[in-house]
Formats: sequence, structure tokens, C-alpha cells
Amino acid sequence: MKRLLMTCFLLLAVCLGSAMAQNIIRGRILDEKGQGLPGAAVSIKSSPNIGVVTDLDGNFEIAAPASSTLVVQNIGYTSVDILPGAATTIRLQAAAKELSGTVVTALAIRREKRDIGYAATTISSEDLNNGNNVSALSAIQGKTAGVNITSNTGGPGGSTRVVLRGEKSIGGNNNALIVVDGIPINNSNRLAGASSLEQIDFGNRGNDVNPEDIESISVLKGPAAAALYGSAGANGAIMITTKSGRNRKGSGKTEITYSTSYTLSDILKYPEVQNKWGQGDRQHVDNDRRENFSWGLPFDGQFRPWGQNINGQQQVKRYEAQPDNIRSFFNTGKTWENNLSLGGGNEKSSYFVSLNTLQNDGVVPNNFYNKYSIRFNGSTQLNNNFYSQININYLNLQSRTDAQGQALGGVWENILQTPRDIPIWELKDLKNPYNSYFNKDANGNNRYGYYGGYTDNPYFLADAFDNRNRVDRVLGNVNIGYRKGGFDIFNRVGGDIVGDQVFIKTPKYTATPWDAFYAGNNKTSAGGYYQGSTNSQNLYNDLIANYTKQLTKDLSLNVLLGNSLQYFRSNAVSGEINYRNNGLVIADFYNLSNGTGPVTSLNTTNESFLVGVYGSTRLDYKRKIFLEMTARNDWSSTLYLTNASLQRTSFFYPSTSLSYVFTEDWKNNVLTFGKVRASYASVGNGAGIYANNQPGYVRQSIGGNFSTLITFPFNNVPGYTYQGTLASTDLRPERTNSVEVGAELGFFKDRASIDVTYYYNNSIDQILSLPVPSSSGFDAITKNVGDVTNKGLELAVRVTPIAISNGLRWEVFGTYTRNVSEVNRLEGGVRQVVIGGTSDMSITATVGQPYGAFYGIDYLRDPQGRPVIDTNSGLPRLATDKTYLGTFQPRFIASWGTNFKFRGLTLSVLFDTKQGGVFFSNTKRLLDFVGVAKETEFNDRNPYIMENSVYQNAAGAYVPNDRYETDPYLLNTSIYQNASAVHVLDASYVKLREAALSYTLPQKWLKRSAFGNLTIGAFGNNLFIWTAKANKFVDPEVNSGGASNEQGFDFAARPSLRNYGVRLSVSF
Amino acid sequence: MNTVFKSVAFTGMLAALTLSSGCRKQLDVNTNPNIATEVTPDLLLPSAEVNLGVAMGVDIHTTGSFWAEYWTQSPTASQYKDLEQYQPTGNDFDREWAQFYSGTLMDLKKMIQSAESTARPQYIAIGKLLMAYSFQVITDGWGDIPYTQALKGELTDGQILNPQYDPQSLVYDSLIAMTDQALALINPADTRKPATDDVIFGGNMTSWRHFGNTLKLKLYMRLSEVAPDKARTGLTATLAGGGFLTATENAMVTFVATAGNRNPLSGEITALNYTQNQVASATAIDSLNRNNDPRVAFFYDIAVDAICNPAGYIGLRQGDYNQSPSLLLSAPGAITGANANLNCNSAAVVASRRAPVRFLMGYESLFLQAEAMVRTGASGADSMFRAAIRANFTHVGSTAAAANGYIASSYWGRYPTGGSAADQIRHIVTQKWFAMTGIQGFEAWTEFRRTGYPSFLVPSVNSFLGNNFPKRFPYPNTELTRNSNFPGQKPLTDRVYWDIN
Repeated sequence: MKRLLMTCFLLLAVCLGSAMAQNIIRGRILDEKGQGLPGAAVSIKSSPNIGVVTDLDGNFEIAAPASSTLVVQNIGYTSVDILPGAATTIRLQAAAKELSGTVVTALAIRREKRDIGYAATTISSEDLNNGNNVSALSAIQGKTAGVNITSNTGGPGGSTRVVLRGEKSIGGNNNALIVVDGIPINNSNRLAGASSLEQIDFGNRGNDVNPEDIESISVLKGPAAAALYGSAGANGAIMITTKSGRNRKGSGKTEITYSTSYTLSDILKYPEVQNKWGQGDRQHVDNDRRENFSWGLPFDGQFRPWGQNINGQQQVKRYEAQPDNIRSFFNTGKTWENNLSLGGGNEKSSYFVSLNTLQNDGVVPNNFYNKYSIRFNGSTQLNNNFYSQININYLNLQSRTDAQGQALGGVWENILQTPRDIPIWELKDLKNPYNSYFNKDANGNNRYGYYGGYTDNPYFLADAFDNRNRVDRVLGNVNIGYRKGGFDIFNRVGGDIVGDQVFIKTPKYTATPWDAFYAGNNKTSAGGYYQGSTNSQNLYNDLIANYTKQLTKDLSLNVLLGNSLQYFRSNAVSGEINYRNNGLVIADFYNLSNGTGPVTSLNTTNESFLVGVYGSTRLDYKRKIFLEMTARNDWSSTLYLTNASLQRTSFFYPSTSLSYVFTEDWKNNVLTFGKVRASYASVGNGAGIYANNQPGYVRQSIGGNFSTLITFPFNNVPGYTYQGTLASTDLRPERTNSVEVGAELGFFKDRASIDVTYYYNNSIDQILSLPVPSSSGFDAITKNVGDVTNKGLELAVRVTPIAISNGLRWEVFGTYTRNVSEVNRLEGGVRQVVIGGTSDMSITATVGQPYGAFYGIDYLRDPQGRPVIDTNSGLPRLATDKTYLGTFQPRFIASWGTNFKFRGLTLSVLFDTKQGGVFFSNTKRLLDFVGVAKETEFNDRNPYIMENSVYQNAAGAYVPNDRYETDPYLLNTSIYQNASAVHVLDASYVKLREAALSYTLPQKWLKRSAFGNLTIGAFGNNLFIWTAKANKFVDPEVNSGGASNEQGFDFAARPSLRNYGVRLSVSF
Repeated sequence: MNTVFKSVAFTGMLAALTLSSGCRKQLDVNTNPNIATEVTPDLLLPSAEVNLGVAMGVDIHTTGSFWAEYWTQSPTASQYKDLEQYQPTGNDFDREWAQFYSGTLMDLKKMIQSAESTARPQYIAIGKLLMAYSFQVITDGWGDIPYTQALKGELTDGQILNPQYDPQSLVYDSLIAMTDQALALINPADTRKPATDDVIFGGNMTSWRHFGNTLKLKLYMRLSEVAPDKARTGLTATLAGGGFLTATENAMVTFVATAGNRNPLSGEITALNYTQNQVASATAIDSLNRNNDPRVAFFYDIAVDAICNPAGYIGLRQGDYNQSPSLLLSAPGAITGANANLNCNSAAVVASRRAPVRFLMGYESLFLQAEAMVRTGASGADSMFRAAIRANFTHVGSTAAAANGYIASSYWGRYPTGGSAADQIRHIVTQKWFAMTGIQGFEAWTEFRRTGYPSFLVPSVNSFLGNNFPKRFPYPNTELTRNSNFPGQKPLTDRVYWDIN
């Protein structure tokens, strides 16, 4: 198959190779010092897709009508227009990055940043790949304002959530739209656990794109920017442009680039632990060998037997702390990445081919993440004004990962529960009878020798519980166009076809302990198997006509008309033998035929279709004032009802923006560039698939607290139940209205620049599955409700204090983002919608609070807020209802970075921070419970009077507590488990997000070699973290809800990674 | 001009390519293929009956069995400490509330609608009886509840999404009326009655008639303290009509060992990887032992030591979970569905999977009749009392002969024939409490609230309510946050309407 694909690519490359010149314009581009500037892009202004690149001496030649205006662009320089007949030797002026260059806007139309009336930033390939992040989305973190990125694990395979300007949808998707070469792609999150309490997170599809293939990423933050994407554009868009052969130096040449990197990963933040008390349960048996409690006696260093007694033999160790026992479990993660790309072309045609492999061994034994990707991009311009482009990417992904949280195979939870004196590394040998689950006794029965009666050997879990994901994906597009004069008409058809399979193997075993003391603590699992396949297709077709005309000397007009078709279909089939309520007949045989009870099978088909027509008009007055208006009308199948009028499916939304480069009128030596801009947009969105369908009947299946309890047929009797979600028959499209104003200022010829934006977004008529009281007979109704606002400030500053002609360049930059979110209204009596969490700790959208409000059970408090102590037990009493505890929204996000360049040497450092906001840490809850947390050292574990507490006297009055002591053992092992509020922590952090040092060998050293370029470097990402004082537990970026709206939820989520490595890149 | 022409032609060509079929057809892909739009009543009946079993059989069963002091939290685990502290939170009951209303009751309502349109009155009768039964459990647990405006979320019902709460007295009156309506529809000769789809009585309409009459006894009986005259009148009339559940006629859902068809409490315990949270409370097991009650061996599993040697029927003081995990304690017996003793008695674990969830039992019918006789001055309460004990003995797995021995020798087995009515009622209700040990915890706790019997229950060691007992369930969090007509949370010490004890 792969060979066949390669053959196809080669054939295509040959087909695209022919070319012939006509109307040649020749010229030369110079840098600010008057030296020939290689690699500058020269394109036809009215047809921005046509262009060439200057050769090593800065020369270019381009086939263009004699009347064409050319545009010269190069990163780091201000763009220049070459009017027809004007001199073609041009000296460019250096510019700061933020202000110049181009932005890929909606529909993948490349535009100059100068003439855009809304906030948009472009990140170059170089900036993106500085830290060698395997995730292109995570690599955006800290590099632009207005973006809230959460990278759950910070390593291969983890989810990355990208939210632009706050969450706009209460129940829907809030991730930014990801667009690759004009085609919006599938960015679904593959979560395979039964719930977020036992999540298996295989990552999100947006992370599949190979960062090395990316030429640039434009971040379109607001609805105005992405209005032409309609529905999905309300969340803003991440526009990814992949590399083409055109930007290779010299025409007609082929450049081959090979890069390889080797990355090591370890865990960024471990919980702080106590090292004074060891295994045991103070209240009961001080040195209970079965315990997961570290509530035993203080360490005394004496020799003690530990674990089970097997045939009279027992292991002995000193009773002392093992400070590094959690750390010792993890391997150093290793990632080897190889990237080979070939690119080439001439002024007519170009192609780019890349092969990428990524092989990762995770920090948890047996985890891996391997990705193989092939890309072909080609374009050609035919003699008869037709042109075509093709981008195709095939990738194959195979990964294995451990389950998080309280899953039966949850590795991290079992590590956390290891008493402080247990040497975890000694549990590694699974054949050793003291660790094994499968050694046989004289009667042939399985006996386990593991020390823990209530926990499992994490090495065993990592070995035996096997969760895998396999993805085959093809995405790409074909673009055929016709361009002549000011006309450009093209049709782009593209798609994203994903075949995704998940396999979850839960081993079947029963083992009784060797040691009679452990009687009753059997290790048992009924075994299970899940296999699920989802095939999805996103198909797009855009037909776009673009016309540019210079109306007068000062005024030019651009009109765009387009039609868009979007088709989505997914089909999921799965079968499951659940270990909780079913089981395997034969151990180690993972097949759906091997269930003790009926296999739960499920098939779901979803389909939707959308037709849109849109248009935009742009006026450009003297390259100084720009006015743009867009309009779009969509017809969405998700609003369709049989026999109803088509009108119902239709919705219209407009946007407009205006910008003014005022320094054209007020020339100034200090403020050398100044632009103000304002925009308004209204974006509509259809409903979720089948959201307006009334409930029907489905096979009855009844859930319990911990698993599905009943699956029909019941004792061979079939049973159906009426669905619990009502639908409104009059669903309207959702709408987000947005206003933004901003300014871009450049000082001292852009040696310093500021980009500032204020925005206000209001999302109304949201289509939401609104919870209703079950007493109505239903649990939810899908209707238009809600009103959410997000307003905020974005600030980006860039200063280049030093830029000397000998090549020394030092640059510092920073961003600041503040978003204030508020849920203004839901509907009727509903003041809260639960987004996630546990039964006693909800993450919600609550009226009057920011989106993502935490509600949990707190202590019962008197009117002054002091905890009320129960006089009987000395423990704080609990409130009956949940209270507000904060939100996962950070108060602000900021970053600070610096780049230092001298000749071939480049050093860059990037810090970022989120301040404010909270998260729920079940890691804390668990560590408090088992007495591992550092904070259980408080008061040497002696009873104490709780600070600022009260009790209720006989008359019912609240009296300051001066007598009832709280026993920390009882507090941690009972009340703390129910008072979820205690485990909501400040989520603030500062991270050293990236640091990189690279050296490009001087050309003269390579003259005699085969290499055109050779760069070596060292890099790191997610290197250090500083957290809030209260958070002694985890990186607040970890999350059990993946990239979903359930954020700030550490339900013993996989810890995040620190990555660092070396990289070599050569070109031929 | 040529350019324009070419452009237009090309555009037209592309447009033709992409828009070749009509728009309406393209957009007509919005009918959910993953659900069925219509079903017959026989597909809804088993679904509702089993769902009622799950709603009754997990947390309501466990909470009832804790507060009736059959069970207590094991020191080796921690799942139900909040019940022992008498401070469960509203969200502890979210699931059950939904399983009653949007689960069981809504399916019953749809079944009745479907039966009305297809002329199947026997389904309507069963639907109304199960509705009345369910609503009584809900109102006994929570007091005032949504009733007249409940289950009306659909447009055809006026789309009431925030139902108002009705006073419990009104709910009781309505449930009696609903039971009467159902009884009027029952016709055992009707051939369009359910068969195997009725997993409670297999379509035996005579049994359903008995169920309806017994339910009326149970409804009137609950009003004995708050409205004694009304109760007496109702009980007299109902007794006169006769036709109650017989000793072996049990309204319950019997679960099977097949995966996905098991007793829901055993299913929860399996999902918790066989964690034994529920162990014997000393209140119940010591009383059984003091009376030499042979049923102790069925209500509980014998406690065993580390190598599975039996150590007797041992309980823990109610709520005393901070004891050593090494204490030897009895687990609930297999008939309760709560046995997790995989190590020493895996047969009991397997049998737990088959344990029924009991709604209205034959022995319960006999106890209700006995009490009704005492309260209405009718004769025969003593023999009815003894019949009830025998019915319970045989139901739990013991024998009538053993029952007779117990009746002859134990304090609580001997009916105080010459005693006062109050004394007789004390005996009947206390004996009913023994009979329901770990198998009808909610009903026993509810009868304790009505009558104050047994008088020997003790507040939990870890009570946060001092010497008070919990008198109700807290309203679920879902009502608090979703229903604009929710009247407000009530403290656990607030009594429900019929509880004046």
C-alpha cells in the first residue's frame, strides 16, 4: 500500500513539472545594507498565490502580465509594492515581526497584515519549532496573545486544548477551528475511558499534524477574522499552512532537508510527600503489612519484615523513608524523530515531499506513541492561466497509554498510594514471587505475593492492562483555478478521512494471597475487552471567485464570492465485554466471542450537510484605509425538519472591519508605524447533529454509581426505554456577536512594537441540552438558551534593543491576555449546567459566575464563614449543598520570551504563566487520605483546635472553638474525603515553556561538503514550573477531561512531562 | 471580455460539478437513524419494572438498611461514612430520583399511552399500580414531591419543565385513588394481558389485583398516626374487600446470574471490585441472636477469620467505623444482594447476583393485615401474625417448622394475645422489622419513622445529629439547581407529613 502511494506521489510530481515562461519581469531585492537578499517572496498582487523566490544573490524573475503590481515580502522586512513599470531593484527595510508579513486569513487567503481590521498573528515555522514540541498546537503556547492553551501531558499523545478569547459555548465545542491549507480538519479528542474518573486519553486529532511540515500558523482570534468559516469560526481559527517547494532558494533547484532529534522526557512535577511516617494505620494496626496507608508509626530505622510471608520466608527492610520511591517508578521517556523533506520548483511549478517518523517510548513502562507521516504538496501554473495545487497527507499512528484516575488499571493512582517506606523499584520483577500475581501453589492456584492488600503493583498494571489506539488518516485538498488579470476563480475540494480504532484489554485473573494475614484481600478481575472503530469523513468544497480592480489611482477594490459545501459523516461500531458487569471466559484471549455474558454492542451513524454562500468586499484607500465587509448565508441540515420549510435551516451573518494606518498621515520619527482597527462580526451556528429530533426509544440500559448495572434483554426479555432528552421543535441557530478594537504601533522603525486589542463577545441563543428536573419526566431539553459574554484585553509587545550589522540581534517579547467570562443567563429555573466533575464536585456553567465554576461540598460554616465543629467527634461538619469555589478561568495569561542571535548562534527562552483560577485535585484528596501528602505532617499529626473554627452550643449559637480538638487522622481519612472543597487549589503557575540553543555552521566550512546548511542544537520544552503555594501536588495543566470543556479536573490525571533533547538539521 | 466569459464559463462548470443535486435532498439527512420512534407496551413494561428494581435496590436499599440499623459501614472501607454521620448530601440521591421519575415513571406513562391507543387495559392497570407504588416510595423518602405537575415535560402535556411540589397528604389521597382506578381495570380473563414481559407476576392479573389491595393497606396504614380516623375507615373497607397478596405471592424482580442481568447492589459491589462496605450492625444481629432467631443465618453470612474458620454472627456497633479493620464481622447474607465475601464464601457472592429486589411481599401483606385487624378491631390478628412469620421464614430460606419453634420460644415471636392494642402493634411492627432485615431496609426504616418501633435502635456512634435519627432524605441536588419551583432544602431532622412520632 505504502509503495503504491509513493508511486502515485512520484507520478504527480512528474506531471506537475512542465512549465514555460511568458511576460517575464526581472529584478533584484536587496536587504537594508544593500546586499542581495535570498529567499524573498515576489508575487503578483492581484494573484497572491503566484510568486517566486529570489535566488542567492537576490535576483528574481517572474512571469506576470506587464500591468501587474508585484509584492515583495520577506520575514523581518516591511513589504514593498512594485508598481507596473517601476524600478525592479528594491531595497527592503527591516521590520519587527509582529507588524509586517502576511497572515493566512479565512478560506486560506493570504493577506498582508497591514490591511486587516482584526487581530491576527502569524507564527513562523522557526518560532513554532524552537522548542521542538511534538504538538504543533502546544507549540503555540506563549507565542501570541489571546490564546488559552492547555497541554495536558506536554508530551507525545496528550491532548491540547486551544481556546481563543474564552469559552463561548456552554455545552458545545470551544476549541478553535483548525484549518490545514484551507480545509477545516477533524480535531476530535479520542477519550476511551468509561468516564473522566477513569480516562484513557489518546489525544486529539489536531495534534496529528507534523510540526515540521508547517510553514506558518496564523491565529485568527476573533469571530470577525473567521466569519467566513461560519459556524465553526465563532471560536476563532488556527490556520496552518504547510510548506511548499516555492520557498526554496534558487529556482529550478531541489533542496533536501533532513533533520533528526532525540528527546528525553521525565515528569515535570511530583507531589510533595512526607518522609516521617510509614506503612500502617495508626488507629488500628501500626505496622499492617497490607496497608496503602502511611498512617503508621514514625520511622525508626529498625529492620522489619515487609510484604507477605511466603512459605515462611519474608523480605526484610529498614523502616525508613524512601524519598524517591514515586520517582523511581518512571522511565525516562525517549522520542526519536526523523524528518526528510524534498522541495523544489521553478517559477511555474513547485513540489514538496516530506517523510516523518516519530517513535516514542513513554515514561510509564510499555507506553508508546509512534507516528508515521507522508506529505506531498505540489502546485503548477499552466500556460492558459489555469493553475492547480494539491496537498495530501497520509499518516499512521499507533499508541499505547495507561488509564488515569480510579480505573482498575490506573497506574498513577496506585503509585500515589504506595506507603512512604516501600521501595517501588523492588516491585519491578513480575516473576519474583513477592511481586507476582501468577505464581502457582502446590494445587496449581494463582497466588500473589505483592505487599499491598488494597492496591495493585503498578508494574503489573502497566504490563497487563493494554490500551491501544490506531489511526489511519488521509487529509488533503485539490485546488483548480483560473487566473487572469484581476480575476481569480478556483475550486478547492478537500477532505479529512479518519479511521480510528481503539482496543482495550483488561486481563482476567484471580489470585489469593500466600500469607494468611492477607486473607480476604484477593486480587481479582473478571477480565474484559473493548474494540471500537470510528470512521469519519469531513468533506469540503469551496468555489471561490475573486476579483481585484484598481478603481482609481488611490482606491482599489476586491470582491470575493464563494460557495461552500460541507459534508460530515461518521460511523462508529463498538463491542464490549465489560470487566465490571461481564467478563472473559478464557483468560488472555481478547475476542468479542469470549464474553461470559452478552457483548454490549453499539453502532452510531451521524450525518450532516451544510451549504453556504458568502461574499466579501474590500476597499483599499491609498494602502492606508481599509474597509472590509463580509456576508454569509448557511443552510444547515441540523436545523432541517421533514416537511418543514427550507427557510428554517437558513441563517445569515455579516461582519465588517475597518483599519487605518494613521502614520501615513502623521509621519513621526519615533512612532514609525501606527494602525488602528475596529471590527464587528456576527456568526451563526447550526445545531448539533439530530439535536432537533424528538426523543425515541432505545434499548434499556441502567447505570449505577460505578458501572452499567443492567443491560437488556433481561433474562431474554427485550426492553426499551424512552429517551430522557426532549428537543425544541423551533431551534434557531446559535449566534455570537463580537466587537473588537485594536491598535498596532511600531516605534523606531519597528524596533519596538505594541499590538493591543480589546474585544467583547456575546454568545446568545446557544443550543444546549439544558438539564431539567427529572420530575418533569425528562433529564434535559435541547433548546436555545443562555447568554455568555467574554470580554478581554490582548497585548503583545516586542522590542529589539540590539540589532547590529555584524549580525548580533537581541529581541525580547511578551504577551498579556485577560479574558473575563460570565454566564449571564440560562433559562427558567435553571441556574446551573454541569460540565463535568464528580458527584460531589461539579464543574459548571452557573448564572452570574464565569464559565467553568467549581461547586463542591464545603464545611458547614457559620454566617461569618467559620467552619462549624461537631462537638461529638471534633470534626468539621459538612454543608448539605455545594458552594462556589472559583473557576478554571485564569485571571490572566502572560508570556515573556527572548531571542538572541549572533552569526550562526541562536538562543531563545520563553516563559509563560497563568495566574488565578482554580483546579480540583483528586491527587491531593488521595494523598491526604493515605497519609502520603506533605501536609499531613501538620502539628506532628497530633490533634489540634482548628484555626478560626466555631461550635454550636446547646442554645444553637455559634461559639468560637476553644476546646474541641480535631484529630488529623480522622479529618484526612473521613471528612476530607467528603469535603471536596478542600481539594480545590489555586491553579496559578509560571513555566519555563521553551529554551533552545542552536548553531548553524558558517557556509565557508561547508563549501567542500555536500551540505548546504548544517544546524545543531539543544532544546527543551515544559522545562520548569513554579506553582502557587497551596499547590504542592501537580502541574495544574494536567486534566482528566482531555481537551473537552471539563477543565481543571485532576482526577489522578497522568502527570505532565519535561522534554529536552538535541537536534541536527542538514540540507543538501 | 474573453476573460470574463472564460471565468463565467469555468465558474458555471464548477458550480454544476458541486451543486448537481437539489438542496432539499442534501439537507434531508437529519433523521436520527440511531433510535426507534415507536414501540409496543410489552417492550416498556419489563424496562420499567427492572428500572424500579434498580432505583429501589442500590442506594435506597443501603441507606434504608443503615438507618434501620441492619447494616453499618465496615471499618475496612469508607463508602458510606456520610450515612453513618447522618449527613448524606443532596447529590447522593440524584441518580435514584432520576431513575424513579424520568426512568421508571416516564416509561410507565409511555406504556399507558401506548396501551390506551392499542386497547390493552391490563397494561394500563399494571402501569397505574406500579406508578402508585413508586410514588409512595418517593413521597415516603422525601415528603412533599412533584406529583400533579410531574411527568409533563412533553409539549402534548403542556411542557411543564418546572413541576410544582404537592403536599404529601394530597399525594397520598391521589395514590389511593389511582390504585382504585387500576383495580377497576383488572380483568384476569382479558387475553391481551402481558406474559413473560411482566417480570414481576408473569401477567397473572389476579396477583396484580392482590398487589393493588395490599398496596391500599400499605397506603392507609402509613396514615395511622397522622390521620387515624381516615386510616381506620380505609383499612376497614380494604380489609372487607379482601384479596391480598398471599404468603408466597411476592411482588419483586428476581435477577439472574447472567452478566448485565444481576442484582444491582451486587453489581455495584462487583464494580467496586468486591469491596465489603456493608457489614452487620450490632443492633440487628445481636437482637436476632438474643432471640435465637434462625433467620440470622440467612440475613447474614457467618463471620470468618483469616483462614475462613467460622467465628459466629458478629456485628459492629452502629456507625462505629473507626474500629480496627481486623475485627471479625458478619457480612450481609446472599439474599440481600450485598455479599462480597469472595474469599471464604464465593457461593454467597454468586447467590447475591440472583437476589431479588423486593417491592411488596407476601409476608409484608400478612403483617399489614395483622396490624389492620388490630387497628380496626377485627379478629384474627394473632394467627395472621404467625402466618406472616412463617411466610418470612420460608421466603428467606428457613422452614415453617423452624418458624414454629421460634414463635413458641422467643419474646418477639410470641404474639401478646391478651395485651393492649399498642402492645400488639409494637410486636407486629417490631417483628416486621426483623422480617425485613437487610432485604427491605427502606420500608423498615419508614415504618420505624411511623411507629417508633423497634424501640431499641440507637443513634450512630458518629452521628452529626446528636441523639436524633434521620427523618427523611435530602432533596436531590438536581431539583435544587434545576427546578424553579423547588421549595427549598430541608434538614434531615424534618419529619414528613405522616411522621408525628
